[in-house]
Amino acid sequence: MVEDTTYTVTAAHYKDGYDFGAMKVRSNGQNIGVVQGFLLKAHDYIYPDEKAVAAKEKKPLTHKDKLCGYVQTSGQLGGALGLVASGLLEGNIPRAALGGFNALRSSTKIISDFNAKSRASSHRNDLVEGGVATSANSIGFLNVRSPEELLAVSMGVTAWATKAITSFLHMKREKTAEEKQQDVDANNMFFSSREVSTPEQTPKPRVVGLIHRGLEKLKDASLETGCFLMSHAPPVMMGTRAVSYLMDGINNNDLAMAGGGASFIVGAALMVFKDHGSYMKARAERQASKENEDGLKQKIAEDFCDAEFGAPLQATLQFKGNGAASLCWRIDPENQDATAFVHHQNKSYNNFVPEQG
Amino acid sequence: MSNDLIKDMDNDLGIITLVCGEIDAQKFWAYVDIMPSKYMDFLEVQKSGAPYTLTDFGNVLKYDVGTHQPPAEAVEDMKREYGIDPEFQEKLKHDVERQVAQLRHKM
Repeated sequence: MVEDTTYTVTAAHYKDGYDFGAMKVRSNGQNIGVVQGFLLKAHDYIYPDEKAVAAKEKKPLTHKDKLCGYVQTSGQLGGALGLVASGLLEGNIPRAALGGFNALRSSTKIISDFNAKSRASSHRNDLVEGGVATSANSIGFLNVRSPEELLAVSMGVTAWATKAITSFLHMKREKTAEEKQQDVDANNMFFSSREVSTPEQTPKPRVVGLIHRGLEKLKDASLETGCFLMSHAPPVMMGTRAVSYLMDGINNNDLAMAGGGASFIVGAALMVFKDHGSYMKARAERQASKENEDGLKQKIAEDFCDAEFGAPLQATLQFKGNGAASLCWRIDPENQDATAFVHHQNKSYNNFVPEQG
Repeated sequence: MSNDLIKDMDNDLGIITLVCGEIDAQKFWAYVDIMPSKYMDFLEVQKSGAPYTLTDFGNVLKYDVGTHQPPAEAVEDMKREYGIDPEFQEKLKHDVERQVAQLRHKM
């Protein structure tokens, strides 16, 4: 068995710099074999895909994320308690109920945020919270005393609805794109290490559609704009709601309502930072992931193009005990980060064929 | 066609093709996203009957082994995810024939 062995790759068959049908391997100036069916994933990304999904799922929230969330939710809790007090003092049951619901929501949100281990679970919390809060906040419409209060309740309901839809879009978008790519990668891996034959009775190939990549990019750009607008709208609406409650409290000499409004302002201000930060982080990750993948494909295509003309590349081929083999080669000797990893899941060594003689 | 034009086409367009054959001595069907620049090469290698590596021509979007006919569920998935039309090729052919007939009629 060969372990952690370094070979010099002198020739390679490549397809778009992405996956490889076959790769000739040389050692000490001798051709020693051909490796077939390796599929390149991305820098530091090893199949199987479940590992990558699990790693992404467990991406932790930072302390800053959490702290910001706690202060924001505490501001919302203070505002809600103000509404409860104001409603009880004035005998306005819908207002008190609205405040009570929001107080309950804020308290449970603090607990769920405390328990949230990852951004994905945080998205799920936001979705559930947004859905429930949208309907529950509508109670406030039942008894309003001023245009300011009407505006405040309207803004609250609209903001929660927007937040729920945005969380849903984020979740769906990230999940769909990842799942699609993982399916295609797994399918490619299966076919890249096997040859296909076409017996006489085989049905002819049929064109069943076209993929308009340009259109996909356009759709992606418009979705990104939509995400941007929807991610930033709720904090602005919450800010308007907070100011409206404050104005209503001042106009009606209602200290509880005014205090609640002031507290809501703290929550809304923090929400601006938090939601903007979340959006920017998610966008940066989406872009980095795409750029990394595209850049890597381009570099490999260039490097292996050189390799076909005889330029050597350093590669480490490692056979593992379970029959899998992994290959890692240095694309750019000056840049360690450009090392790409390849993993092959074949159950045997069949695809490593030693040359005779 | 110039290389730049072909490269642009490959960047902008993929031809979704239902491919059948045998792999590991088993029948299979696969929906493959084939780049326009490689489509003719693909047809040639299919016609020749020589063994080939499917991923040399494109990305495999969906596949299964054991039959040449994708099940209705897989077709529906492809319709939903990639907007395929199982009759696309016939419709395209009829459309071209119709346009040729119209041109002849005008002449």
